[in-house]
Amino acid sequence: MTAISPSHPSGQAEPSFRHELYPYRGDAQFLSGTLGYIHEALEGDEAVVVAVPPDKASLLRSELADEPAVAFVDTTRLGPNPGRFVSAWVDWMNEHGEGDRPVRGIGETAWREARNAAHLSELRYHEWLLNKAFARSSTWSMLCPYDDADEDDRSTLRSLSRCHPLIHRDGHHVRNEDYRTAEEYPFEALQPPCDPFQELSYTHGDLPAIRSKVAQCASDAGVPDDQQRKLAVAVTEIATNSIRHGGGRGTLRTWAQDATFLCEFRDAGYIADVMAGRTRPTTEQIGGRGLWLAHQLCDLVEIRSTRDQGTTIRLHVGIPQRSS
Amino acid sequence: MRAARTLATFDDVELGDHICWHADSAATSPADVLAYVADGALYGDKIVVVGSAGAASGLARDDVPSASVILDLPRVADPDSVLAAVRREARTAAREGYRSVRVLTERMPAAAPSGTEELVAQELKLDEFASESNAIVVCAFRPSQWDAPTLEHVACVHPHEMGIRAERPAFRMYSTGADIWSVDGVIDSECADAFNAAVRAAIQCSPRVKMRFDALDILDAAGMHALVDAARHLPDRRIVVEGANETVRLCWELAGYATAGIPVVMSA
Repeated sequence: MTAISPSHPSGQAEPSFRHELYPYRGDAQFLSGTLGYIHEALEGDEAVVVAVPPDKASLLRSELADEPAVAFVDTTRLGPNPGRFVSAWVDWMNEHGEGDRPVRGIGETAWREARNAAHLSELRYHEWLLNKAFARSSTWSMLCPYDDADEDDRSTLRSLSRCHPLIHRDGHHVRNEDYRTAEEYPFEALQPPCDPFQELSYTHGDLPAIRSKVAQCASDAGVPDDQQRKLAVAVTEIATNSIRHGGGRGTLRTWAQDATFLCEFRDAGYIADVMAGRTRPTTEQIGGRGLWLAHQLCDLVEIRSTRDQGTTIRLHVGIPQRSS
Repeated sequence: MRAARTLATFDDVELGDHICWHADSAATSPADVLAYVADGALYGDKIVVVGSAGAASGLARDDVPSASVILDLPRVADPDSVLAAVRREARTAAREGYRSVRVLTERMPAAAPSGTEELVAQELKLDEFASESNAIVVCAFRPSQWDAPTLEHVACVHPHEMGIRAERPAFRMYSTGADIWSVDGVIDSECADAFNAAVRAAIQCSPRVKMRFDALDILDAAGMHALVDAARHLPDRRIVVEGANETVRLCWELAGYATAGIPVVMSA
């Protein structure tokens, strides 16, 4: 790693989005790193948005009293799907940036609350996507604290490190030479569907059949009625995309795995825009709401799309577990 | 309150029904039409046949009961004039002591108004008439004479369809009061064009329209866009949606339409 400079206060900001990973151990290190980052921001008249787990937020609140330039945001209302986080950050940064005022974000993901391997993978992908999403945001920067207390879990830190161009250490940020600069994200391969699964090929005119199949399987799997209604919209949107943009046809598979009900759609289309469905649509926008709605209505959306192999989209919905 | 439903046979008709009937389907025969007409006499309904009796779904002139009215208006191009004539017959029937009127009309492509939207608009006016006057209106369409998209569009603006195996349209939009339209079913990308045409037709004559979504299960992104696009089609139009379920309201908000400047308001 190459040392660049201390974090810059306002007016001396680097010309592009600054995205720093901050590995720490324990509350004291968490506070020293984040408070240093915040105080730098305040000295430069920058706003700060803090999106961290409740226990960490309490620590910071007790140190910052009622600092008006620091806003704590509630991340719990976003739900588990990382596909909603980019638009949430855009909203928070715009709201607290008040025009061109520089804004620093502090975002700590509750990594240990990840529901499964797919969720963990999408959380990491979100961190990588932030660099794409905010690449041109010269007035925004973000610090991502990561609790590195678990000696046995070095792989998570390594993979997370590859999603951050900078590492924050001792009040400095340094270039992270492990950062993946490639244009394409190296996704982990999707695990095969859990046995047994159900399959349905579809084309134009089959949307009712798709909804019927999904409703039957979701009901059998124990998905609550209110979530089934949301899922019906999401599957309609994804299948519509297949029919309209994915070669006119596709294949649906559904299965339940552990506490998750999954719907997988495969078609021959290609989604070139990695941000598709992750940015809030405008009222004047004619299309482009399908993936957005899917992200908002499902607990997780996995998208894998290549020119050669087409597109696979998996919609995840949590199944409530009965207490024994 | 009117509700959409499928009728197995003409025996199931009720006052206020507006029925889409695919006349050359195997599910019904001329005998069924005769029964429909004959039941008019039984229940005290005046029969009104629009078109020459011979053309109205195979109904021969001799089969039409006495005191029935045949509105054979081949030279009247304006569909509103035909509807006005039907309304006059309904008023006359009421004065004469009939329970209601039973209208049988066969839609002919050659006589149909230009464009699907106009045809849909005429069907909505006919539906409003049935709803207001408690008339029974049977619209016969011979599928062999129509293209499939047009048939789909018109089926969606009839609250009732005929036949045991009748294909139920994805959604149905029908009158439940003055400038109030109820929608049931599902509106997705496959029927969004039909919905757009129906809403455009509904707001042609009234700048303020209320829509009831109590029986609408799903409104997807294409459906939401169709609704907003229709409301924007003419200036100074406003649509207030009521009774939508929680998921429809949530999707509306998520799609970014719950904002000022959109001429559609989704209320609880």
